[in-house]
Amino acid sequence: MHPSSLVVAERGSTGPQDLVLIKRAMRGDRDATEQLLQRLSCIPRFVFRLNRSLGMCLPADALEDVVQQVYASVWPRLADFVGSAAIESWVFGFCRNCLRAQARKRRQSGVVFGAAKDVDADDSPFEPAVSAAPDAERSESVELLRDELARLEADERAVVEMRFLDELSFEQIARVLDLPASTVKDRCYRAMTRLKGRLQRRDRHA
Amino acid sequence: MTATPDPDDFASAAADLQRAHLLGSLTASERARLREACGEDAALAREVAADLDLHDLLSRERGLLVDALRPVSPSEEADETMTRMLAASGRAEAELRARLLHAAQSAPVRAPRLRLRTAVLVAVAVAAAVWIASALGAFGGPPSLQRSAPRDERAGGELSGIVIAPQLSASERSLSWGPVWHAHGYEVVVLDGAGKVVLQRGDAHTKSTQWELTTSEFETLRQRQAPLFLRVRALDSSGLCVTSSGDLPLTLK
Repeated sequence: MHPSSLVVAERGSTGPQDLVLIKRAMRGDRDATEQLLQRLSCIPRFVFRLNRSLGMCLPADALEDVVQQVYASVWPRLADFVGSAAIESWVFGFCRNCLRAQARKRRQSGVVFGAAKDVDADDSPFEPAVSAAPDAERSESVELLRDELARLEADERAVVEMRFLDELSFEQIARVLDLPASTVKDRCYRAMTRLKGRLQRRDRHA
Repeated sequence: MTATPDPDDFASAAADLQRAHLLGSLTASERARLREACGEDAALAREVAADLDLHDLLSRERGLLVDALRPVSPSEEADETMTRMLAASGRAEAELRARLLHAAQSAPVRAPRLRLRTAVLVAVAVAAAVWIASALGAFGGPPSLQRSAPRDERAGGELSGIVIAPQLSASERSLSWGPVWHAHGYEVVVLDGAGKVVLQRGDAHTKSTQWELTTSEFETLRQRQAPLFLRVRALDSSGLCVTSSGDLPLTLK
């Protein structure tokens, strides 16, 4: 499957159904609970891959902690899930944040862990990540973007993510959110202008 | 004669193009026009360059997501780190399952609510039936409320839910609660902070609304670390839950 259709299939189109699934699971529906847990089984894979793609190289014990932390963070936030994206993409954010927090914690406590080149070496048994071995600057910029995305209003963030991460058209987004396409475009433009402004300001300060 | 383009029109068209560029919805010809406009306007060129930087970051972010979404490859599956992570995931999953099911069980069960429209329709139908019956002389006199004795399956009081003040001491080892209409029994359990049952009343099918704990049962509770919770669920004749007290903090003196 082409990556972009993979993303659309796993993310944008299932948001509203996923909201129903989570609500059912929260009401104690056993089938829904099992389905939800099945969907959350992507967590170790996400953490494993992100660790590699972001060049963090945390060791196995730290990654085990991250996996547990992601589950623990998801639980109190289930009620906040609004269904604008699929469960997987929602969880992806948790994986990233927990991974970053763990890496920061380790750095602060002076624990040294492997360098990025160890993981992305030619003899690695894994297929290379899409953006394998990002240099520190690139990786930092993407992290800045994540921070700024997180600072956007939830409705604006959802539109930007659907448009640029899921690659949905404005018409598709409008259908998912049940809004006119013109409203979606305005919201997206507002959010993108805000994002651009903030990143430019950060660049100037840097 | 050639018409000279209005500078305001040009600026407005360039702004529209830049807006579409930021939204990632330019066609190839529009992109060419924007490039041309940038050649004549340095400020516009800077804006477009900033748009491109932002798009580049978003595309890298997307790359990370696409990478994460790929199915696990056999080599990853065999990796020791991944094996350990999957084991950790299994433990966390079991915990989340317990939490989800426990939270749902401890939430008080609400009686289904009639929708307003249904309630109005029912009220109108009942009023019409009463009016027709009285017109046909079904009632001997004017309509009046009659206090009929219900099939009393409760000990008394007008309670619709369980009311408890759970507190125990060595001298007062009794727990009691208000009866529930049509309840055929009560399942009474004491849970610890993790939602694990610590103690359970022996017979769930008795209508008694009291639980007299034995000394040893009380000791079992006293040896446990706080917090403790009491949950009383009223059961119908099929053993299904009619209503629940939820998890009430139980204090031991």
